[in-house]
Amino acid sequence: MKSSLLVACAFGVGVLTVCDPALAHHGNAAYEDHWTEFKQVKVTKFAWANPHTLVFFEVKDPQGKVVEWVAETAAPQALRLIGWDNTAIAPGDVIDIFVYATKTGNPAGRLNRIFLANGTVLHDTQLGGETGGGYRPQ
Amino acid sequence: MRKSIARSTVALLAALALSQIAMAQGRGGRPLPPGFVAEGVPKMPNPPGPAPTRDLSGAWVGPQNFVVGPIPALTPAGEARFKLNHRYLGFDVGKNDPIPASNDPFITCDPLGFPRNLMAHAISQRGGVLFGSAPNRIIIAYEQQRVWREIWMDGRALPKQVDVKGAPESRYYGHSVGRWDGDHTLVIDTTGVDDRAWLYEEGYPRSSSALIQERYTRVDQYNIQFTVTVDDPKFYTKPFQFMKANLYWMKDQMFAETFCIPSEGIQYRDSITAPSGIKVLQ
Repeated sequence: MKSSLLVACAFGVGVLTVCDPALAHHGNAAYEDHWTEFKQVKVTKFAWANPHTLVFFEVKDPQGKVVEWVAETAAPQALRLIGWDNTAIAPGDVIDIFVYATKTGNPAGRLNRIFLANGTVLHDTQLGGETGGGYRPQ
Repeated sequence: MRKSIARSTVALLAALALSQIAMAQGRGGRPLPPGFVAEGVPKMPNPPGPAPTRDLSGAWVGPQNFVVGPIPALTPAGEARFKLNHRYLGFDVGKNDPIPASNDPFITCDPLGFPRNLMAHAISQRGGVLFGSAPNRIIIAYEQQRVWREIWMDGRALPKQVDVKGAPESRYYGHSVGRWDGDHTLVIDTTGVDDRAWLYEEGYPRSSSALIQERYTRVDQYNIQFTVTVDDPKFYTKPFQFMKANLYWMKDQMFAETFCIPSEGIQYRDSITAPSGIKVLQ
């Protein structure tokens, strides 16, 4: 698949975009088909919520202005199956985050994955087999 | 051409997602680990015993192995109503298509209503459903929104009409009566649903005069198979099976809660839906 060739291109200081397919249970016409990486950004809010969990984080644009971005991922009941819970992320956490940004240019998008400072990787539910694990605890 | 191939592929994937073959695996094609009947749904340690007589009580998890439709042709009135319902970004919206507006009631956490609520956990396959009892009734409680339905078992008749003088009001979850068909199948008839709710997320309607029948068959100690049929001559040209699926015994019997909270729905609309260029119709 053309979009899975992982073609990288510079996007700004600390920001990288890479082509990769985005999937969601809704259609994805609203989002770019390549992800954008934000390095070492600070989480401002973690909304463990329906219909979709949201991760808010601060990004400095090339002019140094702080912009709040938000990435949606799946609902809590689906995220629990792959190792998330309501304590997975907290405001103040510094993370690397990969997002399929909205085509409108607004600071929003669909999550791809998050790298926490302790090395934990939190994936969106749509990433497939290699990212599995995390079943409902007994 | 490229668009049609993409749409065909999406349609195929959607069909697979609804097939029992796809549901034998976890999400994203992940193979199920030993000891699970579905992702996140642990298998009971012992083989199931026989189904008890006329008893569905307890907490169950599902729907699993669900199949929807096919949905038959709509009547002119059904078509007119269907055109008013604009689903949230469907799979057939191509990457380069204009972003459609939506008035899916769930965007603002309006009630899913019956029978759409039966599909609420179709993606995770692990929603909670609790069968309980009260005098003359079976109570069915649902994890999604913590809603419940009363199934009257005392032989009363369903209302012949709703929302007319002297008749009861329509309800999002309708008016329901039940009976046992043999020792292991509970049959529930429901009518008088509030027609503001959709049949399911695709936006198909159902009218307040629809007769919706559920048949829950307890196959053994740990398994229920169920079907839902819809007879709605106002909106559909023939009766049809809306869905079939199964429920599995919830191992820990711990009934979760899952809410769509209006303030969170508004947050989602303002943070994601609107910035993504998706209009929400009122």
